[in-house]
Amino acid sequence: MPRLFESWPARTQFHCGGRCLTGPSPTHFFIALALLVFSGLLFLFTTCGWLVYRWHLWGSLITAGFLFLWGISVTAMVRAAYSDPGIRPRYKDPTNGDAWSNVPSSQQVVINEVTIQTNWCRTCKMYKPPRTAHCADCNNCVDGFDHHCPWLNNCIGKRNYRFFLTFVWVLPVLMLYMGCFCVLNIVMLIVGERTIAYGFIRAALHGPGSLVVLIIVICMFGPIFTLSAFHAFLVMKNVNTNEHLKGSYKKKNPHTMGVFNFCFQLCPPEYPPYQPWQRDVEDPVLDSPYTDLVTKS
Amino acid sequence: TASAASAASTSSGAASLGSTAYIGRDYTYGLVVRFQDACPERLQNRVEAVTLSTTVLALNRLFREAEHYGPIACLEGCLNWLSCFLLFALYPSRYTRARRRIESYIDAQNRDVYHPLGLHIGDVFRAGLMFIPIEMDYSHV
Repeated sequence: MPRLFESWPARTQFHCGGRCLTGPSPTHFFIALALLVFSGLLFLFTTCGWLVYRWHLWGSLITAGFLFLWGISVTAMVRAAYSDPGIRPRYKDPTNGDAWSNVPSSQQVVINEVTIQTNWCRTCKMYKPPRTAHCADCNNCVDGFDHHCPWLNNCIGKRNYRFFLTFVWVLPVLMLYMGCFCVLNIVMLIVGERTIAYGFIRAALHGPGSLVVLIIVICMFGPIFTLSAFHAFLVMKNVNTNEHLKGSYKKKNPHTMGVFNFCFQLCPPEYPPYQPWQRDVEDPVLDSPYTDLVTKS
Repeated sequence: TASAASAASTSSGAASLGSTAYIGRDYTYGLVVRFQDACPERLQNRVEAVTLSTTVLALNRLFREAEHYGPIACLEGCLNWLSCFLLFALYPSRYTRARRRIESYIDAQNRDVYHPLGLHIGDVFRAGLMFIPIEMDYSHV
């Protein structure tokens, strides 16, 4: 019997014997990871080296702070990219392929006194529970579906939202941190010369690492800060990107938690994966519980 | 009761397939994992509503404890964050411990109550926490 991840009928890619999963096209992710690792290493060996050379104690402390921020960004990025976002099981077609039968296209569900419609997913053959949406890139229904991130090559769902939030909130802080010390390095190299032009030439010759890191930081800061501010706004409203774009909860949000939501989204319970990816199963698709709802037209 | 049965039919309710009955989710208190208290029609001849209700309510309580979010859970989450998400490599998280309790409770219920009646509660986690699957053709081997 094959393992579940070996016979899963979607565009998800699995690694490490089913322990990690990611989306269909990893190119953007490797570019983003390479950029983060490269700029971090460059900062570590050039600017941090100069800082430790100039001021032993403060230089070491600054390097330690940088290593913590950088470590947590890379860890969060890798975990967001490779963890199961909350992929729901699929069910068999309750009509058994009969073109003349169908199930109702939606059901009503009452949550916290708000009535919402849950729609039938044609691929996964089930009524999508509240906050579950189908990802077109990976071809899976994902619980708590926020969006599919091409730069991480994975869906962001309930289980890995906190890794995504950590990445997107720590990265601007890391960039400001790196930017400040690069500017410090360059300014101190410029200051010693007679003219500004000679200063820049000296900075380019003696501190090229800082210049390169500063350029990277200036280019990337704008888009990343916009994204992190957007998600801070979403977390305050307790709405997903998906729900925000569709305008689902404009009138009344049944999931409000107020300011408490910040802590809850960053440090949620450790939800288990919905599917046992490494288990041997005969059939990756479960039997349909909706056969009672089939009507012949 | 009539109101529970009608609630079951409008929600992701108590459906049946041949030899399996399904108890669906109850979303009235939000997205916390909670199953409906109604007995599916297929099982009404096989098991008393009170027995099934006791099992379902106990499972609801165990799931509520698994997802319980208070000051200690928040602190654990913060330490997890500070340790670059490595904290739960050292000891099992609250949900993992609760999951073991849920699975052992279901095994005990199967052994003591449901197998004698020819029923078997299936794997709730494998069903995506959307249904409690109750197989109706279980026979002692």
